[in-house]
This record gives sequence, C-alpha cells and structure tokens, in this order.
Amino acid sequence: MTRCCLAVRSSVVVYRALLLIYPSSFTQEFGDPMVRAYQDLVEDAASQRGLLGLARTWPGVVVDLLLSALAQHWDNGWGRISRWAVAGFILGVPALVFWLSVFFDIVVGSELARRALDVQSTISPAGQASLWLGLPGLGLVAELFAARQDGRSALSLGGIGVNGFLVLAIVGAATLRVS
Amino acid sequence: MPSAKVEKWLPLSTSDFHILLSLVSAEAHGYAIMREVSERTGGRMRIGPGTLYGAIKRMVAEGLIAEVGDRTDPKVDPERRRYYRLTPLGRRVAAAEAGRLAELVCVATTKKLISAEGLKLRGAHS
Repeated sequence: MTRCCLAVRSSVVVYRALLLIYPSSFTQEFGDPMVRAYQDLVEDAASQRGLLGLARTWPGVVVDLLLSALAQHWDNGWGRISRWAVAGFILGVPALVFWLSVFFDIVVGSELARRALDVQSTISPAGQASLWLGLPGLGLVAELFAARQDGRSALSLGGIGVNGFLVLAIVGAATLRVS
Repeated sequence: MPSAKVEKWLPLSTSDFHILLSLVSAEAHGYAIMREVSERTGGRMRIGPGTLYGAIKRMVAEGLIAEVGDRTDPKVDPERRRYYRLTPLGRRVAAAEAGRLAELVCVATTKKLISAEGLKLRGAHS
C-alpha cells in the first residue's frame, strides 16, 4: 500500500470517528453519504497534489465538521449537551487540527512543520509541556467533567476520544523521543 | 407544495443558492455538488460534507430538493451514492433568487458601480 493510499484510508477512518460529534439521528441518516463525499474529496486531493493536498483538506473539513455539528445540535434543541462538552471541543479540536497539520507536513517535509519544530526547540521544557498538552489536557478534563455531570452524550464521548487521543499521542511521542 | 409562495425562502443563503444551481441542469450526488460549486467559483467557495448534508436535510424537508430513488446502476456506481434533484418548487425558488440578484446587479449598473461592458467580460471569463 502506498503512503498516499494509507493516508487516505486513515483520514477516512478518523473522519468517520469524528462524526460522533453530530446528533445520532443526523449521522444515522447522512453519516454514510458524508463519509463517501469526504472520501471522494480526499482521493481527488491526494491524486492531484499528493499528501500535501490531502493535508490541506483537513483544516477546512474540521471547521466544517464543528460548525455543522453545532448547527445540527442547535436544530435538535441541544438535547443533553452541556457547556463543558462544548468547551472541551473548543479547547481540544483546534489543537488536534494544528498538530495533525504539522504531522502531515512532517510526512511531506514542509516549511510549516520545520518552523513549528524550530519554535518548539526555543521554548523551555515547562513551556513545551503546556504548549503540547495544555489545550487537549484541559479539553479532556472538561469532557470528563461533562460526562460525569450530564451523562455520556455523543459529544462528550467524542470529546474524550479526540482530546484523549491527542494527549496519548503527545505523551507517547515524548516518551519515544526521551528513550 | 405547488402553491407555496417563493418569497418566503428569499433571500437564499449563498451556499443554498449554489447547491440549487448545481441541481438545475441534472441530478447529482453530494460530492458532485461540492465539486461543481468549487469549480464554478474558482475555488473561492468550498462546501464541506457537513454543511452540504445539513443543507440537504433542510431543503429536502422544505420540498426544494428530493432524493432520487433507485437512480444508480450498481455496475456504474457500486458505492450507490445518493442522488438529489430539484423539485418544481426548488426551481421556482432558485429562479426567484436569480431574479432578485439580477435586479440588484441592474441597480448597481444604473448607478455606474459596475459597467455593462465589465459584466459581459466577466460572463465570458466564467
């Protein structure tokens, strides 16, 4: 399997997982066609501009996901979503977008990744820890609090997944780097 | 809703109008709509899957567009995408929105904000 093909498949898996943030009634009806449309989009981007093209679709797609998920929850009267769950997403998802972009850029060796890593090397270890872990860490705490306070809504579970994944990935990468 | 007054939907949001425009000439599936909007606007406007299907859900409920049943031949499209078409009401609403925008352009031309010559040039380029 080529690197590009693997990246397309991984992106589709991540996109399908992120659909958890929508109300379940919406994803039951439109989840499959949305994934299909997203897959067409990334396949086109990857075939035209390779991994860089694929990476460039992510920021727009995540903004689209967030805004349209909020709109769908708004239409549904918000259900059981708490402010904590929304706060967790606001903290964690931008961090996820940024680090995913840097990750994809590292794969294709771009200027953005080099600059991000240059900036990181000039910061103290405590600063690095807060830069890397601050937003998703706070997001994870907010989502756990939301799940405990208001029950496990799809949004808080999705938030725990997104923020938890990011925290684990960052801690895992730091451990590998130290060892 | 054949007798519904189209004014109730006006003005349409830019993304809704683009989606309706994409369905004027033929029925289309989700990604085909996204691609046509992007191509028509030279990449200046991109509709993501979330926004698109949110709009589709609303416009189907309002009777502006409809899902096309059993449109796809599994041999041609093994993924069995969902296709959508414009309803007669949707066509009237899109036409009314186009007319509303044309009136605005007329006003702008009368006030010499843009020239008729410039409009012709734009039309030739798009």
